[in-house]
Amino acid sequence: MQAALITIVLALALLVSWLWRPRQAMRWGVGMLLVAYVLLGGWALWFGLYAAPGQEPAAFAFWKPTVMYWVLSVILLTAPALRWGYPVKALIGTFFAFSDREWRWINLGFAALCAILGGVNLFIAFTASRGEWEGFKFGCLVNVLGVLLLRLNFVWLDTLVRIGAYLYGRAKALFP
Amino acid sequence: MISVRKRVRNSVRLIWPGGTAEQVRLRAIGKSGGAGEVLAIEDRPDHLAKIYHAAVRGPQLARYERKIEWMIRNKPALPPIPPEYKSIVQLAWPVALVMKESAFAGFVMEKVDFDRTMELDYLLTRRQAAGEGFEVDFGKLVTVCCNLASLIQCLHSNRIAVVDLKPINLKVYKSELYVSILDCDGFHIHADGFVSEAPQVTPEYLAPEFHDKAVTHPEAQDRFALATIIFRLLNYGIHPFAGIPAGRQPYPPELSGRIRLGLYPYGRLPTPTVRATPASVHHCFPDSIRDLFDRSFAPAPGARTGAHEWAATLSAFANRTTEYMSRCDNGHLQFAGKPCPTCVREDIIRGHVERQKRFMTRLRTSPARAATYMKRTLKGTRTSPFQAALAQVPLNPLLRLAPVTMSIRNVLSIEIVWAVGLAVTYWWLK
Repeated sequence: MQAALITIVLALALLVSWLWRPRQAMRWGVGMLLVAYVLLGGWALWFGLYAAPGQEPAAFAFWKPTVMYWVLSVILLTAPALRWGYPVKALIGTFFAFSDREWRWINLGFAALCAILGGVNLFIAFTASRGEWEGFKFGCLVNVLGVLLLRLNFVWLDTLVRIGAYLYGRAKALFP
Repeated sequence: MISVRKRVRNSVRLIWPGGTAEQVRLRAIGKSGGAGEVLAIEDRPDHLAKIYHAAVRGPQLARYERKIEWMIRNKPALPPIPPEYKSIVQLAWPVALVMKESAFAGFVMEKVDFDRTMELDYLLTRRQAAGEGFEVDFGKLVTVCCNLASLIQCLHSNRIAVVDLKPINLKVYKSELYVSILDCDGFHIHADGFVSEAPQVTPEYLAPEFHDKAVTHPEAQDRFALATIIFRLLNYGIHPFAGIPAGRQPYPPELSGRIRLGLYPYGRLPTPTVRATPASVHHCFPDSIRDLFDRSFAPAPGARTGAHEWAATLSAFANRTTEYMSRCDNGHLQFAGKPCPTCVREDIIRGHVERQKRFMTRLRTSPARAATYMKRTLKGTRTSPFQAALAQVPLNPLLRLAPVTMSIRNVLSIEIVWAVGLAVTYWWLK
């Protein structure tokens, strides 16, 4: 029941996103990210919601953060090399006006960070205790929180203000 | 069948002073209090009967019987009323016993005409008084206070105290401005050879020395309650212990706690721990009246202003010939030589309304102002010279914001995908 509900909500959100999508060409680098996330998301949806508990290989649990980090790292490194743009723009958001040179360094920095974190994860997973590994994993989630806060501050708040102004304008027109 | 039984049950015998008995029927009028129910008496429109509840029985009912018998025999002399004012009842005093099957059940009292009177509580709010057809001015208020003080003075001179003196137990004649006290059977009596306690009190009108203990000096309690009522009448319903904390000491949220600590902020000398309510007009009262208030709410109960002092002081203001009251430029009655309390109050209210209106306007326009602020921030077109200058200086040369060119829908579309991606990332990393 819960799985079906989450799937329906997700599908509806993606449908809205598709209908409201910007009508402009997407850079291949961003396309790579999308494909990767569809695959990773499909895996997460299947083993997180539909498959019976224990179906996912137990040893894979240690590899999961590394897979995530390294997939990101590979995409971030490959796309500029193939002249497919800088996928990091999609991760941070294009609210900041950086030059291409700056975007290249940011992209490279992200790729390096992801590659290092993936390696450190494996190192800790197979040398330290399980408790220490879990501590490292949750510590890494702070990075995700940082990206979220950046987005929240520079994109979502601005969008909310624009939505508020738009709704207020409509209400004012309806009830002068 | 039911009506016959009801009629039999409501048939009682009245014993008038001198022993005259009379069989009457009572009719419910829907008025009931803590001790008993008030009923109309058929064929006696000027009187009402109070029948004690069934729960009042045994020694308690016997105490009531003795008290009522004493009260019937010893009605106090009340302030004289001019002959042109007819049938004014200043006390709902017992005048006869009510017997049910030869047992004491209650008493008969004179009826206070509810059409000609209103609760004194209504005078605390001008709008409520106006709703009763009573236009309040300070001349009428002073007269009502004076009449109330005179009535209490008469009771005190007969060694009778009200104890639970509060506006809800008082009625005011709308034309004549005389005051009636209800619930007389709850009075404290300490006459020669007869003592009757009055255990009922109301914390908001209870003198500080009687909080958490019995009222041992009923007259001192009445003095405190009388001063509180007069203060509220003259100060637009503001309780003398309602204020704003100014110090660091704990300030009790309830009035009874403030009374106990003596946190009276309206004295002629300011109190460091508490400030007066901004809506108060106490500074418009004459010094003689303020002195009486200060003595009434001072910590020492012995110095508390007596009802006779109130009556003497207020009667001078209520009397037109003394010219202690004058009219302001707007035609309001005021205490001579002091600012007009009505005008002061109107100014306070007007200021409050204007502030409220300004606030509502700001609230209504805030979404549009927020949007304008954001637009100007993004475009760097602030009108304020300071903000415009600030906008010219990049706070961080590395961090420049790009102008938003996409529609809201496009932005939302991207953000939905981004949020789903974040959720997937979280699942893989957790």
